[in-house]
Amino acid sequence: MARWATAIKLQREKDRNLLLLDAGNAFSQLGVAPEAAAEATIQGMNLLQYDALAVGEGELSLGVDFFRKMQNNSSFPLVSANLFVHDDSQSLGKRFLIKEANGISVGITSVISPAYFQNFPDLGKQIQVLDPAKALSDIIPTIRKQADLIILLSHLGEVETRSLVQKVAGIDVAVIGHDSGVLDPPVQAGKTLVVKNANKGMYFGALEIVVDSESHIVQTNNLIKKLAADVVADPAVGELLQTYQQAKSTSLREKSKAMRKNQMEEQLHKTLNALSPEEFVEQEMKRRQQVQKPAQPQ
Amino acid sequence: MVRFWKLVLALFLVLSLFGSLLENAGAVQEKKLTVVYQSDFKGYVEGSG
Repeated sequence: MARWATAIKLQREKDRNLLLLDAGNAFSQLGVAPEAAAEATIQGMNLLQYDALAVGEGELSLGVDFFRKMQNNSSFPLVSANLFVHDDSQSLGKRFLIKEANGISVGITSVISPAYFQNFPDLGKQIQVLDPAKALSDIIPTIRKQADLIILLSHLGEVETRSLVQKVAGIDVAVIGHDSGVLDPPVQAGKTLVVKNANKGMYFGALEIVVDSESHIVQTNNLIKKLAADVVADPAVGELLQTYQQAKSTSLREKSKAMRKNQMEEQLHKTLNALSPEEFVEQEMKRRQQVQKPAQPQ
Repeated sequence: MVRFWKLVLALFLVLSLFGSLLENAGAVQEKKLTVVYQSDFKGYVEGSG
């Protein structure tokens, strides 16, 4: 992440009119200390001044309460147009946002596939995932009134994204999330330009968009490049990672302690199960006598 | 005859100036922005990028 941060800072030096977007699954429930990793990720993204993060199943995989905590910790919105809380039908993320860059107003929204929650049955009881096409068709006219361009953070994977943007009009650019890999060059699906850079932060992806006086896209240049090993790690993000590493070590120690405890308990159960009831009573009596026996003065 | 060529030259200069102004106006009206994007970082805070 510290090298990714350096790449972004270099890009900002070249270009002030920059939007920094993530199409979801910045977190994961896997790994040694997933909560600490998610917290470090959000703090890093705050430092880098992200504009929006789509809500992927990764963001919710550590529970709705943890998601809300991360939402409060972030200085940018977590976006979703089709995720709602079951109980009160409130949107779980921000449904869309409008950002201004170089006099261009950009509407940013996001959708996720309901299929991705099949592996999270507990989450399914707490949240409601609307049909992505229906949710977008409802919201895009509202966004279009306020925006020259619309960018969709499409947490649907590549195949579903290509199909969706041909069904729902009005999306200028779609950034794919969920699938791994990169799209180089990007693909045109209907009137939408589809881009992808989903590779655990190994690649840098930037799309330059030129619009005319009527805000029509007249030119795009996409850059996908692998972060070279010689990209220097950003010191501020590097410092953040030290905190994360400490949390990871603590978590590792606790997990190993809990594992040893479980092994000992398992061994004890095995021993007790091997005894007859009479033998068990006899052993228990001996143990109690030892406990009650007063300590002998030295 | 000289007057004719002077007229042609003047017309040429006026048209060039006008064309250049139009071109500049067009350039000013075009705007550029850059979208830096990624996904599926998956908590790889120490590794990868």
